[in-house]
Amino acid sequence: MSESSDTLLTATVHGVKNQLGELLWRLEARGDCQVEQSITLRCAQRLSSALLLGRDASAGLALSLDATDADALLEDIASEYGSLFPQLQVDCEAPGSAASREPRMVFVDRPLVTLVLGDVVHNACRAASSRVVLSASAWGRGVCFEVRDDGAGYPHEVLRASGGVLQSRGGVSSGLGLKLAASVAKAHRRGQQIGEIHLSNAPGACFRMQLP
Amino acid sequence: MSLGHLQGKRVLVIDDSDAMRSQMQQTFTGTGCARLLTVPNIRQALEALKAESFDIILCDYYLGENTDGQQFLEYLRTQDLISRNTLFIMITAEQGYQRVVQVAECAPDDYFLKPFTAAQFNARLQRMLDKQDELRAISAATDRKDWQAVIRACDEVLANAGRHSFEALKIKGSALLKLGRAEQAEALYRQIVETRALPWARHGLARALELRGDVEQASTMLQENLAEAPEHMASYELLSRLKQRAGDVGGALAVMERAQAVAPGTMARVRQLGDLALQAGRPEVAEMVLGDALQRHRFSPVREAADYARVSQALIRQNKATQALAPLVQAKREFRDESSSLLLGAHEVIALRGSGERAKAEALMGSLIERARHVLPGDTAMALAEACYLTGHEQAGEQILAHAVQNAPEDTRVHGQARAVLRAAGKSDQHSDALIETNQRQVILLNNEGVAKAERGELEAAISLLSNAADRLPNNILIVSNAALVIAKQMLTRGQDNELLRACLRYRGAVAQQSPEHPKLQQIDVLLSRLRKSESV
Repeated sequence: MSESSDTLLTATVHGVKNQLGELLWRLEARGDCQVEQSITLRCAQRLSSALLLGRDASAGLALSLDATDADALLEDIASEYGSLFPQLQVDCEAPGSAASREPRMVFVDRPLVTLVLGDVVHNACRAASSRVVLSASAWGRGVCFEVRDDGAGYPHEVLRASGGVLQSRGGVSSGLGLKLAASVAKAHRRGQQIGEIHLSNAPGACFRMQLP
Repeated sequence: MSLGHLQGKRVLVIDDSDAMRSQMQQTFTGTGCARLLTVPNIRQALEALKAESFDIILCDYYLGENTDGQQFLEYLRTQDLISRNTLFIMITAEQGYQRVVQVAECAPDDYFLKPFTAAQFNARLQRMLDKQDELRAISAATDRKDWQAVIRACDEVLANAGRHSFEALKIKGSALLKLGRAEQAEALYRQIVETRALPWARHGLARALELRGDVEQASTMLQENLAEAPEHMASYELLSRLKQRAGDVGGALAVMERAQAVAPGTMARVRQLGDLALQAGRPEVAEMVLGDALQRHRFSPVREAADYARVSQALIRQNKATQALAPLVQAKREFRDESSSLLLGAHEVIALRGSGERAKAEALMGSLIERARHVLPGDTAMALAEACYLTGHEQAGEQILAHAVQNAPEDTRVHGQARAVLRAAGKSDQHSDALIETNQRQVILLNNEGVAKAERGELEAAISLLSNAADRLPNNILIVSNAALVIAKQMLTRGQDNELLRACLRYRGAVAQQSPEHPKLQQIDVLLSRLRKSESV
């Protein structure tokens, strides 16, 4: 992309995000517009995902790895979406439990992983009947982030695509977020080990992102 | 929304969008914060920061006016305009820019991606305030540049295995490097790299290796780092410096050009690239990168008069002396302090001389020599010396170079600059060597005379000699530390004197600033401690 078109795109995204931000804060101030807030956030997430996928296609995703507190990361996301979907229970599985076997400090690109997991949790909240659960567990020397909901689960075609190609999750998502999740996971490497995502139904949707 | 944790906090918001400022204003109203200031640009933010301090700064990355939040943060950190304890939060519309990793000291405390709800903002801010609390003692010691206290405070956080232990480890590594403790720093960074080869840890390890003299291994480490993390700007900068120090100016320039291709640089990086291009005999590169950067940041305070002087220098080296005046005229309108004025004046003399305006050049040179009485920064001194030689003021030029060498007798960069000025003036290498050696010897003799007087008990005469020399040569650490030492000895013999104590502490501070582990500091401190005890008795 030429510098001038890049500058134009940056200025446009800046303007659009400012306007979405203004809209979001106005809706939040009203106190009764969670659905509209959710739609606004979805627009912003799609814009971010599209930009990052565009960058991945042209130059690859450059990671900025650093030590990250996995529990804090998940707690922040759970708290954000818990307030956006007050009718749901959005929980982090207790650190130290058998399921989480918490690796407290993990080495990931925090902003990118937060963006991906935020998008996945958002979709899970839209699909869930009553509960969404986030957890982090050890995966070799790395970490496995997991998001489960008690909704209808992923459609077969989404399970098959597993983020490899754009595949919409019915009315819940466009598939852009899963595609970005697959790209972000793949960009996390350690020696020969490459990050990956796994989708399953158990019976609600279960998303796993394993990062070495 | 509950923002009770903001009770008593001072908050500065910088955003060019009226709507965002208004939203922030509403969000913070009623939270109990002691001060909330919202400004649309960095000019107003700087005015506010010079007048008062803030606990939290929320800064939009995209600030219009051809500058950005990262440039602004770098400026604040390098000019020491904000405390380490001030939370600097960058608000960004897209994730792309932050892939470029700056040196740790110039990274924001956190990034908020737009748009965000007030609830999201609240949760993240709470976590950052908790971190601010846990690292408060470390930040306070960092502000004082008391690196030993920084290490002690880091060790306390590490001993308590706090939530931000890894951050404390990172800061400790940096403090060990500042203190020149290469082996301890190397051990710390190796321990981190063994856990995970993080780019900042490998960069720290390379700095430790450099410090203990293993430049080859340091360079290899940096090359490996860049192969895996090509966006790690700090590694390009260090690798380039190592190559330059080894005399490979072309290689150093190539490294910085690679960095420039990855991301348009901050002003500091552009300066490094411009200087290298000039040294490598590629003035067209210096003209292009500096000219572009000055155009991009034309309303930003990150620019310096010296940047315009470099562009002028690059144009002269391409035989474009007439064009070389334009950047200087532009800079003179904006930079009116005496130091900038002397620097720009010296370059103007060079450009006038190059464009054949001898009379104007000589008239201007006369006034500059009159004004150049005080201690001059290195680059200004060199430009003035060059202008002196060009206009036939050889004696004045020689005096300026002599002073520069006496002020930094062991600094090979100063020697190199002096040699370049003399070479341009048609002097032989033998002449340059003689000038440098004579002035190195003179300053040693001066120091020895002061020390001998002190040893003979002629403390007043020693103080007079060394204090005068220290005021004239403030970067000469040998002279300045001995001035502090003899003053402390005098007070121990004759009793405390407020004026002498102030002078002693001023000289001690100057030594600590330049070399925090200088052995003379301990000797000065022992004498001052004995003085305190004797005064209290």
